[in-house]
Amino acid sequence: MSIREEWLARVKEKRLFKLDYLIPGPSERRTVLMSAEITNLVSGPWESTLMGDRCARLRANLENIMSGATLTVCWDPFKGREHHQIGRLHPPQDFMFDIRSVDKPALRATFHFAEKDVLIVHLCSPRSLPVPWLQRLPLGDRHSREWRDTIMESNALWGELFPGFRPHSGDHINDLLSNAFLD
Amino acid sequence: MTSSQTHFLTEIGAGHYGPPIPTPKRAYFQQRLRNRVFNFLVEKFIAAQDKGLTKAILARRIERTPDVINRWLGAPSNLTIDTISDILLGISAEELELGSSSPITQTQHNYSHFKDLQASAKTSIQTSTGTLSPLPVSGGGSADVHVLESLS
Repeated sequence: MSIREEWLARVKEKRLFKLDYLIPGPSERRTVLMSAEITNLVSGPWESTLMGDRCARLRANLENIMSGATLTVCWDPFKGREHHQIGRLHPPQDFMFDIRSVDKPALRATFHFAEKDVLIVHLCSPRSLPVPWLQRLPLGDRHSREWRDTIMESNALWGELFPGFRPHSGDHINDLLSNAFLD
Repeated sequence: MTSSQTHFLTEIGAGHYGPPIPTPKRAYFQQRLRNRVFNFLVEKFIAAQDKGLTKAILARRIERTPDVINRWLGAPSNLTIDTISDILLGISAEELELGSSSPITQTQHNYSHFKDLQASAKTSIQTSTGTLSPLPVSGGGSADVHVLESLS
């Protein structure tokens, strides 16, 4: 089976969930497939709490990615700055990325590409401040155990979903994502 | 519109005397607007880059530092009404025109990257059994990558 047939099968098995617009939106120029964990966070209905606010914004950001919008990407691990919307994580050969949702408390959602413009979103963690509703410790410093564990767990999730397949990779962001804005 | 979409818009479509619109739903629309305005400005900047505009030039034009321009053109959350005005003036000597529409009456656009890839996978399976020719796989959006010039 090709990787495409694999991820389509995972959607059919309900091990991955396709993101749709909450309200009718523009064309879907990319595909965002989420783990059950991410799906639960962004599906609502949310209570009128900080959690609800953050999850709704994360949902809007994921839909923005799906719409094909221009994205600012940090290609080199550890070089991410506030304005990057997506960053590649260390080690670079894993081709794991995170979506950087920067409103406070900032969140990071890890993902791999199954193929160009097809994102497999695994986990969501608080960046710096504790967030009780995520039940994960803040990622903190780039060399922290929390970062290491999150990366290991995300790689393991990829391995469980797609045994025998490597995440989609490339020499340039252009090989992975359309309409990217390198900085 | 799907039933979940209709449900999401319940309070929003309830009229002036309807219940309060919950905070998360307002946050969702706030973030959509931020993203939309940000995408609009970035696309303007990319188009102007082809005509020689750089962040350094833009910074000089609107009397800001390149770092500030970097931040503004970097993330939707860094924009204010005033900075949007400055950026648009500096990039293209334009001002923003406003319009609005109801999410309740919006229609879904037709193109779906997912369905496109799904269809190509089915075709590929059929091809392997000798029934059809393969379709090219569409990448969906533009393959262009835009590289911001160094500010250092």
